[in-house]
Amino acid sequence: MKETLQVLNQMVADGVIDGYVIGGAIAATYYLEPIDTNDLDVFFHVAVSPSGLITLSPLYEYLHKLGYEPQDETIEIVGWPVQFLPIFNPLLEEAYEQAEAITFHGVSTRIMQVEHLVAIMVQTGRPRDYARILRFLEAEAVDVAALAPILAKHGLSERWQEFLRRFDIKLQKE
Amino acid sequence: MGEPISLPPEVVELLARHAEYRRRQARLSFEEKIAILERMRELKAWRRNETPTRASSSGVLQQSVLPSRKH
Repeated sequence: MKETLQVLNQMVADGVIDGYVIGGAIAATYYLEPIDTNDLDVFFHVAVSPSGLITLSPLYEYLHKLGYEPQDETIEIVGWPVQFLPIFNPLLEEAYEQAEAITFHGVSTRIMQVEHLVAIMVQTGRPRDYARILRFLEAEAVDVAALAPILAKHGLSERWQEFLRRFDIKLQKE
Repeated sequence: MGEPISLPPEVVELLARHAEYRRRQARLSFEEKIAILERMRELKAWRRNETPTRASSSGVLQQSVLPSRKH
């Protein structure tokens, strides 16, 4: 993964993307035990063309020149299939802005904060998201007091309460 | 929610051990966790490419009668 991150950082340095943040299972792995996953989820700002159109072509062309080709919804970069996910809503924007800077084997990168990860899972709301939230709660890896205002800001409080009711979870503090 | 389920003690013990195992794994460094995931990926790739084998009565591994999954 070190080399994969180096390629991503080079994409930023070369202006192909403005920046990126790691989310999904790899970000969850940062806070929990290793979470089995097939890919590395990378959230990024799409470069907007002078005409105002959003296009992923420069990204694909850049990686094609380096020999990395799309496979289904990912592009395999030095052994890791990378899924490039455009930032398309205010919650993702906030997760991007407030991401934590970390290093991986000396390579700088950015990873979503745990509260944003959980809020995104609440928003996405697939069964596997709920299963993962349960793991965060079981491991006491998320600060529910810090999570509450994020959920409220993005209109997810009711969905969160519904999740807690559904799984009969009683939080000590929120 | 319905009535709480009562699990046999050995299952409770197993679940507790698994939870402890996960807690220990969570305390590893990010680099160590990713190394585990990379080994899992290698294992998955190997399983995908490896022809299934079976042991003969003599204990010697034989080629499977199943067709290879290699393309």
